[in-house]
Amino acid sequence: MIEIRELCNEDYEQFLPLRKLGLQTDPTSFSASQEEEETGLREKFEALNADALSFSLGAFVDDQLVGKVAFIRNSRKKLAHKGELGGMFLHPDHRGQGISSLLLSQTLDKAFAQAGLNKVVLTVTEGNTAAKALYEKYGFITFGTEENGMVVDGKAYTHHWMHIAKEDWQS
Amino acid sequence: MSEISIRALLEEDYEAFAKLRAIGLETDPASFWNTVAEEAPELRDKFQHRALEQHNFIIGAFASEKLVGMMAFVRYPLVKLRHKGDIHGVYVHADYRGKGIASRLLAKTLENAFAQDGITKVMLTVTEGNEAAKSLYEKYGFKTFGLEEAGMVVNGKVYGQYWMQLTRAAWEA
Repeated sequence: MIEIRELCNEDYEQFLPLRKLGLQTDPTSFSASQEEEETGLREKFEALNADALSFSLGAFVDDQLVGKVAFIRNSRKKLAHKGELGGMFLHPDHRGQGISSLLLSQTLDKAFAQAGLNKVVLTVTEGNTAAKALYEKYGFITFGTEENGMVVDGKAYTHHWMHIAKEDWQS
Repeated sequence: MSEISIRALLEEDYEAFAKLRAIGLETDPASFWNTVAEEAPELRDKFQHRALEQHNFIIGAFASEKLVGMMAFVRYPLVKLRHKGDIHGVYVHADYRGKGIASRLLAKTLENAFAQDGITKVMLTVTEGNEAAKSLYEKYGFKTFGLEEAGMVVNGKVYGQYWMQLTRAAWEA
């Protein structure tokens, strides 16, 4: 039984271990490293929950958090027409069941319901082909390819920059 | 025309920085992500971060001691991203354009940035329509790696943004 819902501060106890697992199993999916995550994570999580236009969604299987994604609306006036999707992670044991798809479509539904939001932006690291294909399936297009976007353990990875315009989103 | 001198900004340059920044946000709003109102409460912190923190700096152009141009370099702090840094807040006062000041700011910024250990590239964004800036960056070897449609909206008008980067290899060539 899969339930998708918005995360709140009380979910931090489940959010933290999932985040830590993600940094360990899929380091190229996150800008932060395991060491850097230790400080300020709870504050960041709570600040995002407190922001009126930003949110995190979680995927729960039998009340256990197994997937997450965040949407952060840009607060600057000149950039407030866009928001960023980040921190997408699904527990390896629960992949291939369409959970990412649910997280993504519900994030976009919720985001594009906001007044003034015209597009959602994200980056995908090279090698993460399943995620890139999923984003493309939902209408994201690649507008930039940044070589050496990230370096993990001495290896350089390209970052694909993608976005989806509101008019290209069909919920 | 007075001589132009180029140097990194120091703590005591804050007032001059704030003044030039306010002019820039007014004359060229599409060159900055912030609005005047948004950045007012955090401008001192922004200056502190950009001008004075380790690895970051703002290069200024001075005409008879008066700040007339500036360009900031901000390095990414995260381990996975600290091989790169962004150029931000580029502005030359309208009365001082066409004199090669932006070019001197860029040359000094790149020299200082690539003098740092571990920096392998410098990135920036240029707003569509700012072709003079874009061709200057290209002259120094920057390559466009993305064009983000609707990157910015200023007073209801939508602008694309070019994302550009210069690798150390291209810089040294």
